[in-house]
Amino acid sequence: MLADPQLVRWLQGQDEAAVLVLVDRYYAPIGRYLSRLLGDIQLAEDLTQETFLDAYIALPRLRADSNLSAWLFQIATNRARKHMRRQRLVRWLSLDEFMGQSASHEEAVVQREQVGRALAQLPDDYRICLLLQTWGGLSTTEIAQVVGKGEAAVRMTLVRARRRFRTLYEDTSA
Amino acid sequence: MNCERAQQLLLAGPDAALPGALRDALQAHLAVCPICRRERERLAQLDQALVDYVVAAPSGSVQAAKRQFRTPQMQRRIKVRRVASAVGRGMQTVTVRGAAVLAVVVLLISLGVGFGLAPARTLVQLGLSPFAMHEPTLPVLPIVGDQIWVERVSPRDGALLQAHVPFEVQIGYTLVSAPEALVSLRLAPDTGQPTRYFTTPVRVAAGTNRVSVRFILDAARARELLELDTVQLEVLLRATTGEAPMLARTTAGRWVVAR
Repeated sequence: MLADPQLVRWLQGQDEAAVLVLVDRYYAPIGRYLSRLLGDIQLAEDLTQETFLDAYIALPRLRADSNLSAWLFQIATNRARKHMRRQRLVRWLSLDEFMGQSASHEEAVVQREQVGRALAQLPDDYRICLLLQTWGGLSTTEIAQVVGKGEAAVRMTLVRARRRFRTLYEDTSA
Repeated sequence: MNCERAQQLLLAGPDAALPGALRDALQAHLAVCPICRRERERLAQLDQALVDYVVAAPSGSVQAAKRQFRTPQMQRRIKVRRVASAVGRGMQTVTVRGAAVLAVVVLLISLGVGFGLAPARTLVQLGLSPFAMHEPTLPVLPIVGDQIWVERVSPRDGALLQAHVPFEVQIGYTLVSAPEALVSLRLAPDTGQPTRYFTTPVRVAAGTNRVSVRFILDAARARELLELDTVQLEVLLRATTGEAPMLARTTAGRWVVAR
């Protein structure tokens, strides 16, 4: 499989085939990130498509030393934040959207619902930083670039976010 | 380092890029403190629960996204956005920012017209009374798309599947308002198994004449679908708010189940 740095070089040539490899590799992770960040499957799908459209347009500005994953998560986060600013109303997934998981998955479904409820109650910045770290696998330095804050501020946000998330999660589990 | 300080540092996460001395002090404390080690494990479980939650989220069809990327509509959008982006960058030197924004908007509108986008037609212009509409008068429309696909959601849990049934419906007129709607899906397997009905809410954007819906079926139904090669599918789109009580209905088409 082509490594990310090689893919970056290929993408710099604005080759459509390279873009399709990018979509192949990152469409699902970005889609899931937006889905959980925004709590709206339909909207997340639209914004995922917009993210890749933005990425395509921004290819001429992609640097050779860019971290592809962090670059895409940054574009997706900017898209999501723009939407969050415009529309403060965030609709969160109900269990109905999973339409009755089978009994063997009941426990996992209950846990997911608790995580979903806890996540939904976090401020936007907390949710973004936590998801970028746990799901996106971004380092504190990369998260700082995505959210436009210093590293120390991001570390403090992560401490507060994780503490708050844990309290909310344990409250819903109780 | 005391427990309170160690536990605060742990809250920053596994890759908190701590300065070297602090990281060493934390590791030294963890080596001798079982309470903080347990705390680290609990936080790792919490992170894992969060990852599991994200893994379970539907992500959209990569194949559909790739197909969509090649469509003429998408290529047009890319061209328009490239022009707008270039104009936007050029305009950054202009001190009157509002004028730049206005210019881009005007350009986008003119490009949209130039590329032959269909002018919006309302229900009234089409001679249809929104409130008098009922099912028999609806045009029967084809479903855009050719596959139902089944996604294995989690690489760690082979049993967890979700079947996605994405489709687009061309309504035939442009919606003036943005209604809430219910989409009903009738799935009739060819094998003589009972027909199943699913309904899901959907938001329809104003100014559009296409609706794209994704049904998410549970694991049991996804497994049922995997047993089939083709299914009969029919879609009914009913508005619950907005201008029309009924929006569209499709023919019963035969779809291939992709694995």
